[in-house]
Amino acid sequence: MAARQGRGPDGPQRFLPLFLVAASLLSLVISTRSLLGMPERIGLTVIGVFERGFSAVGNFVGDTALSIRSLQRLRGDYEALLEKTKDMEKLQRDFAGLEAENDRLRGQLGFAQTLVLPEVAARVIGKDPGNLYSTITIDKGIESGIRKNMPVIAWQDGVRGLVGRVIESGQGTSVIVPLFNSSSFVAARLAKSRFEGLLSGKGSEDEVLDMAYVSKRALDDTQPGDLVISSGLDSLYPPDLALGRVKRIDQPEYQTSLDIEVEPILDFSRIEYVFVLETGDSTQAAASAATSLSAAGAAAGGTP
Amino acid sequence: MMLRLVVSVVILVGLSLIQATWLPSIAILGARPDLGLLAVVWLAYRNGPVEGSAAGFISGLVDDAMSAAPFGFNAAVKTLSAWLASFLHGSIQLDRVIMPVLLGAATTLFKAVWSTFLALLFGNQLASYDFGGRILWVETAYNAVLAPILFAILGGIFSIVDSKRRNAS
Repeated sequence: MAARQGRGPDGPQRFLPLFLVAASLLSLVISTRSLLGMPERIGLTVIGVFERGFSAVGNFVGDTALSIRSLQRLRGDYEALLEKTKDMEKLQRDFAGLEAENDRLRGQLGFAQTLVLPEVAARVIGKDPGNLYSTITIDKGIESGIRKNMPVIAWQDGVRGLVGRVIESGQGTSVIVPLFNSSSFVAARLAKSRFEGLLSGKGSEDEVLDMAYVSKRALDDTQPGDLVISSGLDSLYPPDLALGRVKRIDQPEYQTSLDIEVEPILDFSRIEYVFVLETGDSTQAAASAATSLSAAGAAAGGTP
Repeated sequence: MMLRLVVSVVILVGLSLIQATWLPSIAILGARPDLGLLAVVWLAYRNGPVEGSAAGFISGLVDDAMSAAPFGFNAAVKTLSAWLASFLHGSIQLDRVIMPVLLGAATTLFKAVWSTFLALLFGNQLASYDFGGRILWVETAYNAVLAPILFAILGGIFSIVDSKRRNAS
C-alpha cells in the first residue's frame, strides 16, 4: 500500500480523538462507581439481538457440518444407552425406595423439605470478546424472568454443578460471571468433613479454583478427590451445589488456615446449556452476600 | 467520509460479534485474537485520527456492552490505540507482511500496558494482563499472525468502497 501524505484534520475535528478518549474515561469513572448500570443494559439488549443471530448462524453451520459424523456416533451411543437404561431402571427402583425412606426419616426428625427452585433453561451463545474478562452470554434475559445475581447451574456427565451468577440481563440475553472469574467468591464446604471455606477463581477456565480460610483441623479429614459444595452461607448460592474436587492441600506455616486447590466439577469450555435458578430477591441476596463475605475476609485477616 | 465510517462501524460491530460467538472455539491455550483491535488500528492508519478514533470508540463500546468490563474500559483502550496508530497515517508504508506483524504485536502490547495503567488508576474493579502469564503472549503472537491477513481483507473491502465513491462522484 502506498504511503499517504500526512495531513492532520483541521478545526474542531482535530480535538475529536481527545474528546473520545475523555468520554471513554468519564464513562469508566461512572461505571466503576456503579452510578450507572443503564448503558450496559441498553447496550446488552441491542447487541444481544445481533449476538443471538451470529450464534445461530455459527451453530447452524457447525451443526450441519457435524451432523453426518454425529449420526454415526449416535448409533453407538444408542446401543450403549439401551444397556444403561436397564441399569438405571433398577437404580430408579432402589432410589424411589430410598427417597421414600429419607422423607419418612426427615419427617420424623422434623427437618424441612429440600427447597426446589424454579429453573430457566438457556443456551450459551457467546463469551466475553476479550481475554481479560471471562463471561458467558446466554439467550435468555429479563423477558424470561432472569434478574441480576441469580445463580446459574449446569449438568455435565450426570453432575449438577454451579456455573456462576448473572451479572447483567438485557431483554433477551444475560451475561454470567463464571466461577473461575477472579472476581467470583462462593461460600463453600467440604462435603465429607463439613469444614467451610471461601472459594475463588483465578481468571482462567484452565486453572484450578482456590479454597481459602479452611480451618487447619480439616487436614486430617480431607483428601484429594473430596467433593466441595456450596454452603449456602453467602445467601447468593443455594447450598449443596457441586463446585469441584480437592486437588491439592497446602498448609502454610504462616497461616492459620489451609489453602486448598480445587479442580472445577464442570468443564467450562464444554458448557452448552445452563439453568438459571429463580431465587427470590437476588439483589438483596447479593448485598447480604457481599456483607458476609467482607466480614468473613476481615475475620480471617484477608480481603475476599 | 460518511460512507467509510458507516462501513467501518459495520465491520467493527461484526468483528466484535464474531469475537464473542465464534472465536472462543479457536482459542489457543485459552487466548483469542483481538480482531476488533487490529481492525481499529488499520482503520486509524488508513483513514487518520478522526475516523480512526471514532471507529475505536464505537468498537470499544460494543465490546463493553458484551463484556464484564466496566463500561468505558474497552472504549478507552481502543480509542487511544486508534489515536496512536493514526500518527502512522501518511508517515510509514505498510507492506504486506512485516509491518502488519509488527503493528499487530505492538498494538497488543500497548493494550496490555494501557489496561494495566487504567487498572492502577481505577483500582481492582479493572482487570489487567499478567505480563508473565501465557495469555498476553499467546494473544500477541495470535494478533501478529492474523494482522497481515486481516489487513489484506480490509484493504480489499475499502478499495471497493473508495472506487464506488469515486464512481458516484
